[in-house]
Amino acid sequence: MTDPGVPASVRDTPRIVTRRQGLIGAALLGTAAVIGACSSSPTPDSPTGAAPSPSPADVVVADERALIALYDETIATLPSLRTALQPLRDQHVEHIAALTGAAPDPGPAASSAGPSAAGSSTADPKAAVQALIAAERAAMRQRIDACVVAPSPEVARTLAFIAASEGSHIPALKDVPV
Amino acid sequence: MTPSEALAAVVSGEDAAIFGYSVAGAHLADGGRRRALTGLDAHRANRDRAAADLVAASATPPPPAPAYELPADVDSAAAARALMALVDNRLVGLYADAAAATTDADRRWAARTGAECAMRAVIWGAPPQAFPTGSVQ
Repeated sequence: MTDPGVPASVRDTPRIVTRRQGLIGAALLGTAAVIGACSSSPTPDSPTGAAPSPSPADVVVADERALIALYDETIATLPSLRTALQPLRDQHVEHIAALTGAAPDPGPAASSAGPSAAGSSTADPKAAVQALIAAERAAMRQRIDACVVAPSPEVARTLAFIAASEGSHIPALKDVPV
Repeated sequence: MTPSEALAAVVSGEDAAIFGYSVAGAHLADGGRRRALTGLDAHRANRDRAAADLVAASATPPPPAPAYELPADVDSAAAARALMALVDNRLVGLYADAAAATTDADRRWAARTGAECAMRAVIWGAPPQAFPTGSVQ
């Protein structure tokens, strides 16, 4: 996996291209439509009762909630990291919404999360960010595994996007100044 | 979308990425240049893998386009990084399509490779996204 350190020189591009909608080969067109289809097509498997064995999407939803709890606990313990961590935390809320078809529920404010939510937060910023990196890496791998056994192509597509998002959180977290 | 259609889109997308990385890499020095070359190698390997899958399925891989239109002038290191971030993020959607259209080992490869593209995009300076896409912001 390409995952080198991120020197500061790479990070001084504030935004990707800000020109008109540009094309780099027709083959790269149409991804926005893919996203639209993905986020507007709720997955069919969100049972309300107890299922004999949880579907891959159900396992991912539970895991996403645990990730959100870890972010909330970290932000509650280390408020100075909120600016860096909150956007990443909120993307996991969007992952749950895409998997369940429900509107994004931002959940409780981070400040209300007790220190027992995930049980592994630390007051050391460097260690806390490392814990989040490890959690995101494990999440990415689990999403890839879940993608392989997804019950439908649509769920597989959604899980592939979620794996990509969580993979992209790793270099973002490595760039958090701690 | 059939597996062959999805893999053909990956081949074309990777050809575009190879072009973009080749243009962009010339504007970077030192670590940035090395990282661009590593990414270029990855995109070539990805293109070759998708093309080989097509051949194995008795399909013909699409040829590279005769020319590619860049979304912006690439005349600085910052523009070069933005271009690579854009092509990598756009590939994520093509790999998600490929993951949806394929199964088993091909699906795993597509999901993993899409994640690698999203990671590179952020390393090049793109903001992380809940559903990475290469729309121009």
